[in-house]
Amino acid sequence: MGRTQPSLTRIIDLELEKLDKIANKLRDEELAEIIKEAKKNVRKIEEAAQDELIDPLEVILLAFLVSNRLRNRRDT
Amino acid sequence: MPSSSLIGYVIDAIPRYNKIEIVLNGFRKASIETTYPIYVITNEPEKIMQIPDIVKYYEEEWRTIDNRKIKVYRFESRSIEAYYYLKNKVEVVNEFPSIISQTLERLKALPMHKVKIENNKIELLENENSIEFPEINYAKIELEDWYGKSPRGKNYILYLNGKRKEEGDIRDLELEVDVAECSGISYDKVKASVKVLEEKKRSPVSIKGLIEWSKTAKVLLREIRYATIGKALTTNEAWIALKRKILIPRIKINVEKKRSLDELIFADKGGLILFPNTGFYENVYQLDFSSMYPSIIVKYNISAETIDICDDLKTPLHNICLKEKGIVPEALEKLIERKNKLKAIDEERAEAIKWMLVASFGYLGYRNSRFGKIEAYEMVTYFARETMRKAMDIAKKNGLIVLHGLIDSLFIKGENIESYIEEVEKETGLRMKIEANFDWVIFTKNRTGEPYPQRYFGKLKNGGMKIKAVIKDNMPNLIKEFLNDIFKELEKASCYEEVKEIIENFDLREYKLRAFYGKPVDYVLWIKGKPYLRNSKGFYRAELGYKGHDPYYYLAYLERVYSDLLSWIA
Repeated sequence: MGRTQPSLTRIIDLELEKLDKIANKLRDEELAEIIKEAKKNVRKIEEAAQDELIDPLEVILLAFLVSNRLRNRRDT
Repeated sequence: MPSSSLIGYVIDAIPRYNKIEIVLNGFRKASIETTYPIYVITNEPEKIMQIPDIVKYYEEEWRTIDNRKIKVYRFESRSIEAYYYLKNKVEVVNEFPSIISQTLERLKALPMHKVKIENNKIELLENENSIEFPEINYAKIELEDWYGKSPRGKNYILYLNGKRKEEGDIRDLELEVDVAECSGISYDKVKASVKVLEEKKRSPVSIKGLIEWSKTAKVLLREIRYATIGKALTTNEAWIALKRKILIPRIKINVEKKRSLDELIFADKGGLILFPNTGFYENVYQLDFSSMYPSIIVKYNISAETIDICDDLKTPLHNICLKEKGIVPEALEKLIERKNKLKAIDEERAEAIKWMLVASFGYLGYRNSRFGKIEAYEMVTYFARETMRKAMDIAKKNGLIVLHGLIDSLFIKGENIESYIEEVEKETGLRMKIEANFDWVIFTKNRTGEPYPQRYFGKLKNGGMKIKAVIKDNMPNLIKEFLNDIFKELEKASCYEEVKEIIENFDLREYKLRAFYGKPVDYVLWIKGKPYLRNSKGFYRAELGYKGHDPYYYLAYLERVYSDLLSWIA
């Protein structure tokens, strides 16, 4: 029923999957680790962005920024 | 014409020439003289009068759903055949509810209601909105084969008036009831005024639920036995439209207004999701808004004919007109009231009404829905998100922790829940109830470690477990049994350590052994209502008989499910 837009969660997962594949092909362990870290925050960002007009890639970008900040905080 | 009076419940009706035959419970029949109303939009009413069965006509003023005045002719026909003839020749309107239902309503012979028939007259012996269940005999016959319930089965189980009565060989079944839900060949073995073939049913409600639908929607059981939930719901709305003289078109023409892609993305969103904090939590409440979407429709007067007509209530998406109560809100208000009353006396019938309420929101956005409009659909999810945000803010203000939220349900940890509910109800105007009070609950994650909304299990304070989306229909019986057994054990646990210990030390040997040497029924799994087994060549249908199984598939399945359980408590 309704118009049924594709699920935002599914689209975000698809985009992250693409990044995973790229990291695998590059055999870049560090990039794979960064993506893994970003995945931990992506649902929280998605949740907070539900009322906004937002692109799935923007959600992923924010997740990278948040995990980067957390990593910096951990390292210092 | 019957000389003596008949008192009973209207089970069925058969249209005859110049009369209608009413079938009461106990196979009693009475004929009542009547004509049938046919509504037509035409410029040549006299031409239609040339049809021999048409006896007279009336000119009436009706309104379209977008409030335009329109001239409609009501023809009275001696036979229903004239209607079938006319509907292919001219523009017939108001065909829904059916002509027979409209005729019965005029005669006050409402389906499943108590009536008295005497001297060609019908007297309704109960209120139109009565919640009494008709005193009729109804039955359900299930057939069973070696793999479970099946229309090909040779053994039957008979449920009479809701209670399990007997079982046996289908060849020995003899039964006479007013209404029966049958499966497979039992359809031919039963005598009933109205029979329902389970395999053709398109709604998820029981036979008792269908009787309730027939009574609520004032439509014959024969007409809704194979209907979708949407049809039952729309019938309720159509009665309101008919009463208000709002035209019910045969085909709905509803063009959506032009919008940019950004506007569409902004407007067309579902309910709010607060992803669960995965893991183990103690003393958690699950709080649900009662009938949230239908209540929002009623509260904000959301209906096709009230959106963007005037701006009594302005929102960032659309405006709502509050001058006249909408058709959909009026129908739903009655249904919500009925469901609440039934809940106290009959859970099964309340469930049938609940299905209509559940479908009410989706049907607003369905393109063929007669009283729907996509903009109205968008307004419902908009208000639902606003309501949930408000409820979450109030929780935060009161020092409560919201662990998970989904559409109309919140999982909350903290004190003074009763006063929180009171505040939410006051602020939102919607009713909230405690759906579950957990001693402990575990919110699960998927295999990649992300939180999985609405899949959880927990021990309830008043005993028992609540398990959601962990045991699935498409799992083999062996796995279902394993999960049920482990959850039975988990009922004894009262803290995290005990839950962990039970899961980690659960003895899998019996189930592993059964993956190799179990009974054929252990390996059956149901996909879209069809039973399958798996052997080394792949999946095959259980109806073909047991043709071996692949023990390694079932063993791997068991180990996978067990490792999921372990990961959820890690």
